[in-house]
Amino acid sequence: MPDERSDIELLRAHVEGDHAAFGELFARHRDRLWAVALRTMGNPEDAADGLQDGMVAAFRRAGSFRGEAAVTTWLHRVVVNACLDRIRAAKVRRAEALPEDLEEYGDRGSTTTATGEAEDPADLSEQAERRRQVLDALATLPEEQRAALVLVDMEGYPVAEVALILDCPVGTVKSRCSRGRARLAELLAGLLTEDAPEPSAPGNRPVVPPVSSTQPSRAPPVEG
Amino acid sequence: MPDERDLTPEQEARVSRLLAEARHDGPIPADVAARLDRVLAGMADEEVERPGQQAAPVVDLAARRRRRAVSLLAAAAAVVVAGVGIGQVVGPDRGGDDGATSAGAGAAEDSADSERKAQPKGAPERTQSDRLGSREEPVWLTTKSFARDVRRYRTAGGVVSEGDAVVGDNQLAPRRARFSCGAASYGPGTLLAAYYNGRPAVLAYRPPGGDTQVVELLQCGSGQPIRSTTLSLH
Repeated sequence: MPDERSDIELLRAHVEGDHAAFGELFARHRDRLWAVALRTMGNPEDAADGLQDGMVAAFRRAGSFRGEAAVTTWLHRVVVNACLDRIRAAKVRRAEALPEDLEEYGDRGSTTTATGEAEDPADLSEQAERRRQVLDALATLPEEQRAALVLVDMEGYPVAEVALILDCPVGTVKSRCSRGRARLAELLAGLLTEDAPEPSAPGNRPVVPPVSSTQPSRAPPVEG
Repeated sequence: MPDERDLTPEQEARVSRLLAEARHDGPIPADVAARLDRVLAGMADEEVERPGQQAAPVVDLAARRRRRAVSLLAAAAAVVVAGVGIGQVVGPDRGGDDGATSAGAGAAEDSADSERKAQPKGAPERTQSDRLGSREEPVWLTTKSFARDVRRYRTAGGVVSEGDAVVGDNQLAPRRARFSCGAASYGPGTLLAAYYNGRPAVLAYRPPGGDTQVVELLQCGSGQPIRSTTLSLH
């Protein structure tokens, strides 16, 4: 029987000692959190690590949630931050890697990050090839631009909510998206040529289920 | 910005469409979901046992190990590690359990190559006696062999035995004068000084949750996770 408590009720219950409530809360949103982590990190292994980091952080910091944003916004924020922390740490490690490590990092770099998704059954199809090229190009962007594009263009979240998730002004989100798209346009010039504009099809955003929340997004949550 | 002016609204929309098409719509993979469930169960158990606490209580087994690890404290004066409890693991040359001794020797042979690769110029000079299995020294990890080495160090050093839920505390127990790691909250469990690709770090064996145990590699000075893995205790 599904738990009918709201997100905020589950989070409060967890803070009060009902840790099963956190499991219910996380299970409710983990598919979308996984998608964000996967596209932000670029490969399933790192995405799993990033998502786990975020889950652990959310579990431990739940008491610091002040209800100033939606619980889902807060969860996304914690997970995205965990992923970005991992990416930054990996960049430091790459910069300091010994020559012996470089071969391995090559396996984890941008040229292969989007190709390891065993769940994609159509990896030989034209669509899959196009997707691979897009993800490869996405992986070359600075992590802040990548995270913004994943949340806005891929996941379809409103810019205002993404600003809360990334803890930055709306204008910064827009700027990151614009710069990221400009860079992608260069990298994907061939695809854009093939992909003729369709004036009659203005709706290019995916249909994203609304973020289920009982709390309005008013301000960034305070994290401990 | 120049690059923002380069795209027309139509071009931006086309890029957005390509990104939207590359959206991941599938559910979280079953193995990842199972792993997260195990981690959650472990944390929930931990909270039930020690609500609101970060540091793990010390059980008798930990105390026994700590008594045998007294020599690990010898280099304390020159080390800036704070809040890192790494005194629970006894190397084979310090009178550890026979089983751990045997496993440690094997692990030393198996991991020697990766350890050599991981050692950077300028890192503490290592001798034969420094090799894996001597628990006085930081453990050596590389990106490539992380999961394998984490398992081996656990087995080799008797880090946490089956059913031994908590063996760590936050006692200062530095291993080597030249190893330094800034103070931070590294959380509960058994903490080992480590070099990861030649850089100081903290390897945290979290209290087991059911039949699994989460192991996190943490950044010195911040405690932020660098990477993690989950060990099956079967």
